[in-house]
Amino acid sequence: MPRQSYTDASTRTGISCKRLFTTMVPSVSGKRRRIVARTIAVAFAVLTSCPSAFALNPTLEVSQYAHSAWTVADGFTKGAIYAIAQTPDGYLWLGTEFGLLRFDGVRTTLWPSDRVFPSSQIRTLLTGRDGTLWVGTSKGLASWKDGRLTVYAELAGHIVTRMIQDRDGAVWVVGTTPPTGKLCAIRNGGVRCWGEDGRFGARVTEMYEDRKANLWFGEPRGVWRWNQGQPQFYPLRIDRSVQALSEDSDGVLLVLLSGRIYRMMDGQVLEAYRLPDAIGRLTTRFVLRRDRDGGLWIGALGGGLAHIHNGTVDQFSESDGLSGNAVATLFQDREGNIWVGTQAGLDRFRELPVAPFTARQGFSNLRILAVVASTDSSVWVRTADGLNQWKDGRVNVYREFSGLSDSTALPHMSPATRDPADDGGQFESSGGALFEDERGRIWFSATRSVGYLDRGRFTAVRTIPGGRVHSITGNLMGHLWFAHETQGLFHLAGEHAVERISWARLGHTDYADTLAVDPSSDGLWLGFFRGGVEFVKDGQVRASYAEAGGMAPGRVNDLRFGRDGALWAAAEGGVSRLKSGRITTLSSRDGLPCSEAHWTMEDDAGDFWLSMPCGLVRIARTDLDAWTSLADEKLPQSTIPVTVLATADGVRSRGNAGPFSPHVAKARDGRLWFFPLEGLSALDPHRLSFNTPPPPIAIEQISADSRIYLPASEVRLPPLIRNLAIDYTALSFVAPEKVRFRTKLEGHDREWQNVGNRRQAFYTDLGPGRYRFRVTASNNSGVWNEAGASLDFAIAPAYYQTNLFRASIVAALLALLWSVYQLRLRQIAREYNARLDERVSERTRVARELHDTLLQTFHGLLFRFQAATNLLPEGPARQSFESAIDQAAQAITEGRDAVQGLRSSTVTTNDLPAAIGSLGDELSTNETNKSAVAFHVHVEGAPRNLHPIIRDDIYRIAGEAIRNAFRHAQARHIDADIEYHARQLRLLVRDDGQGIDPTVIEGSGRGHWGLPGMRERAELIGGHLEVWSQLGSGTEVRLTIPASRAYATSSGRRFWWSSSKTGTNA
Amino acid sequence: MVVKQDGNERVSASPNPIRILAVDDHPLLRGGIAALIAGQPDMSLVAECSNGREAIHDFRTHRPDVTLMDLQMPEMGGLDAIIAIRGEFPDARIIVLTTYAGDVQALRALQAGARAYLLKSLVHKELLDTIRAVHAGKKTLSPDVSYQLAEHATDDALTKGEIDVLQLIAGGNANKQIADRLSITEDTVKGRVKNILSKLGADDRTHAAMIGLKRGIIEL
Repeated sequence: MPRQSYTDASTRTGISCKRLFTTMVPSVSGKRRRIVARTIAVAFAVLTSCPSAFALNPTLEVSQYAHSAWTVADGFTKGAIYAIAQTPDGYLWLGTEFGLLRFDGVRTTLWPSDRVFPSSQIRTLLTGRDGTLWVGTSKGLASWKDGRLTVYAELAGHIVTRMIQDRDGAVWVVGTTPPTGKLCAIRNGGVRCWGEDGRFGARVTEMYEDRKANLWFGEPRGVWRWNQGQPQFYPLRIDRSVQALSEDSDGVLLVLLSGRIYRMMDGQVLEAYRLPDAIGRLTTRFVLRRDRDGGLWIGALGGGLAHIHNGTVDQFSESDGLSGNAVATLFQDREGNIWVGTQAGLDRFRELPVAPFTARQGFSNLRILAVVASTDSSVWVRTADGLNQWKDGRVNVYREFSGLSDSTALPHMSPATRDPADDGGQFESSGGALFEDERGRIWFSATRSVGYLDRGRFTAVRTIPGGRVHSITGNLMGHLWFAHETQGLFHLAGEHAVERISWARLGHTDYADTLAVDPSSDGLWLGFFRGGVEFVKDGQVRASYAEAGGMAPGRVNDLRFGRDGALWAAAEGGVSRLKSGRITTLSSRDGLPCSEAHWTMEDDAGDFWLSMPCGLVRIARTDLDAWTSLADEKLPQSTIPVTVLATADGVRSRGNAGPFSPHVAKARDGRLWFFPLEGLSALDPHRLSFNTPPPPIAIEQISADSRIYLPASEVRLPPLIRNLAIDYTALSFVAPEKVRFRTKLEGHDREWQNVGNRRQAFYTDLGPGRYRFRVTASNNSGVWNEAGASLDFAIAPAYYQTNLFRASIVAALLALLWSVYQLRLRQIAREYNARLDERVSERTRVARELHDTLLQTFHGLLFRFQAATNLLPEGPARQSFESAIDQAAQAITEGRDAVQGLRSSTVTTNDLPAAIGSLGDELSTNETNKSAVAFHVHVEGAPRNLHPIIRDDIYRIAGEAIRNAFRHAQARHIDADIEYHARQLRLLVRDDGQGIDPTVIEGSGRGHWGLPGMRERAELIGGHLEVWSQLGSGTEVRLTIPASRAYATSSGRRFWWSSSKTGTNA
Repeated sequence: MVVKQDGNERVSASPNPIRILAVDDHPLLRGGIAALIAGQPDMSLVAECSNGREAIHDFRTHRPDVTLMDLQMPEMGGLDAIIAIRGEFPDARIIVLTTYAGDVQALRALQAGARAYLLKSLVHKELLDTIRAVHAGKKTLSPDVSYQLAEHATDDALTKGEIDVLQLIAGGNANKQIADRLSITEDTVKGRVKNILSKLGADDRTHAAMIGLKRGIIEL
């Protein structure tokens, strides 16, 4: 990440603050700057005027930031962390004693595991503006970009101690080989080094580029300034070696020399800050880093951390929880987190919305009873042991030494020492209410009486008893009211006029524990311990509101008038708003995270804050306005949107409100002060540390059945993956545990899956195909990286999952179906043939029968007739008999020939054309019109064997048609076409004669053409007969028979596939 | 008994009539023949039987002058009977009576020793004359038959193997099936078919089968 220059930072934070907060805080008062060192103050003013989304509130001490530590002892790393960098992809890189680690806030990965740096001991890291990661080791320099590692020979064997990149892009590297060293500048791959001559560059210990682009090089005895390619030396008159360089808020160079920080101007040095002895005296090696909000961080090797903020110096060391006192490096990431690398681990500091204030900040006791903000910008805190005044970052403690006696003498009050252990024992914690009256006097309750503190002096008002006074309030006319737990309500007008109203007189057996004056009248509002709110004026109850009337039930903890004049009552059962006699109550039913409210407060921007056991609740002003306007019109409400700050935001909740008022104070700077059970909390509504940058997302690896694949453009996985895990991460370091992820595996999931903060997606038994894994994430502030990251991968299909395989299965099925179909066809054909064969055998049998019986019988009878005739004498009778016998013999011969025809037809299978031809010839010679008719037979296709029966029938149909043509058509040409097609046999007989009457063709008219007989015959053999004719233009008779019927198959013709499968098909 | 015949024949009638054996499997036909003969004083039907086997037996028993033999009969056909009888009695005079006018069948019968070949359709007119002619030692043939015989006289006769093949062709069998049936190779079948076509002057197998049937080379 490029180094953030000063101007850039303020510009950017300006934009973000406008977006996040509608109202600006007024600039801090001049008084506050007085104590602050002049130089820091300038920067501070600039920074606070526009709070940064990346902010590290510089008014806070290190201990008030959220701190997390990862230690070597816990196994986080193997050894010391010497360097930290962040690459543009968002990862943090840790240079350790034992290699380079990649860190995403949760997991560390040794990286790159298969590359070898000159040494595994990483000393410095730098991310160049082009994304190059520069790695300085104890034995040389390497750079890593786009998967390529470059090692620089010029620095081989050198310990690389410092690296910076200047504004022009040159990387400056300090390498040492004790006792000498060199300085190299790497620009566009070219390396130039200095120091071989023992002059410039030989002893550089520190480098810095200031905001004016001056390059500074620190040496033991002075500072070089790089000036237009010409180094210029500024000797230091102080006999100390330069340990670290930085710049002050005004751009003046800061030089750290032996635990003191000097400003260097015009070659002169002036001491600006002195580090605590624990850090400064014992250490000789320092790192110095200025955060983007002006805080100056000093890490000492052996002394822990020092932090200069607001002109003061605070410390943080191992005893405060730092991973180790040997601080080796400091780094601020893009989200503003400060990272500290020590020899024993890693530490992170970030600002919390709610900052803690404890004894470290000077408070005398951590048990707080009440808090009130004074008009003079100080905050008064009633602690268990006295009064603490917080003003301008300092605490004044007022504690009673002589006791608040019932004597008239003024008690002796003085600022106490800051020893929290000494509580004096006399300032009893039984009373606790606080109030600042219109004259700026701080009223509070002590043991025996109440009193006030005015300019550091205490005055007791003995007419009002001390002890358990729960609430004090007053108006601008000098009237004060005190709610005493047992004695009732006291009214103080002026110095002595006291009125007491017992609780019983107000109709209560309990007591009021919170009071509020009505801003529009001189009446008083009381909130009661057992619930209910009453309005009292002139000692009389004027109005009373209870649960039955819509009030939130239970103890009323706090009463407060809002800027619109409404009274807000925070009670056990919710928050009630009372205006013009109307009550509206907000509780968990209306969208609040829980019901009990401890207090309410409006911040300067008008946003509404609500303390509850489940956290600090913020309701935006617009949401509240919308809600109240509906409430005022008594319209139904929907749930109200809220933001909850909880433990992770620094909020420490408490189970009840505490007995004394007030529970919260809004200081003049807009901060809200309140108190958990221990210590104080301060919320700056203007600095809610909204983390604006969406988190970068990285998909780290994909592991399939224990094999790991690194993300590529498309990862190709083998078939049959059982377990698939995808590791991904989001690089937000503010609160990695609050990062939320959504994943979607396109090709598997239909919807986005909310997976919480899990950083691994797991899938089992994904089928083959192409997938796209997508992941989006939100940071701790709920800012989503909408683009997300994605990874394409493909799982190869197993052989049986391939389309080819599926296609072949389908093909096999189809083939099977086809086979079945063919089998069925053959079966039908076989049945048909069997029937034909039956007919053949039947005919043969008939023929034989005729021959064997009838013919022989007739012969026999004929012989007898002949024998009988022979006996007759010659004459007409005998002649007549003989003639009859001859005719009978002729008839027998014809019968014989018919029988022979019957028999021979069963074998004459293929002479159809010849038969038709000879028939035609015969007819053409016999018929009377023989002169005119030309008869031709055409054969198309290769003649095929026909079944004898079929052949006979065809022959007969053809014969009929031809005879018709000869006899009736008076045609000149008669043609018979026999077409042997693969799918059918076709016979055509056409003539050019006079045609047939259509009624005859349709079968309605009877004629001598024998058409019905032809049709019947055709149907009998499975064929189809069509007759086309038109009077005057001829006739065409078409007979079509499907191949399966027409062609003989008994000659061994089989289907190609059946020849090899005869056995199974038989 | 008055018979309008030549005197020559009438003279030689009574004392030694021509003794005739009629062989036909059909009783009515035999009855008809018997009726025809019965009117002839010079003829005497000495026995009749219904197949070849009985014919051989009866021939031995009666020693007829003329035997009338049908060809198609159950148990033993006429041709075999002729051969058997002629083998035993070389002088046997046998007239074949048949329904069909196939040349080959006629030829076979004549080669087996038949003296005459008479179609049944002509029997009523020619039987008596034929009997007398045969008895007188002549050979006669019906005109149809002699025409056919003349037509094919110069043809090469089919061998036994070829006839077997032709028979199976007429049965509608393919070469392969024929080869299987006859236990010979398909090539042999092809060779025989070629010979058959050439000898019969047939255009193709079916034509050959038809010719074979017509000429009596094969029977169904």
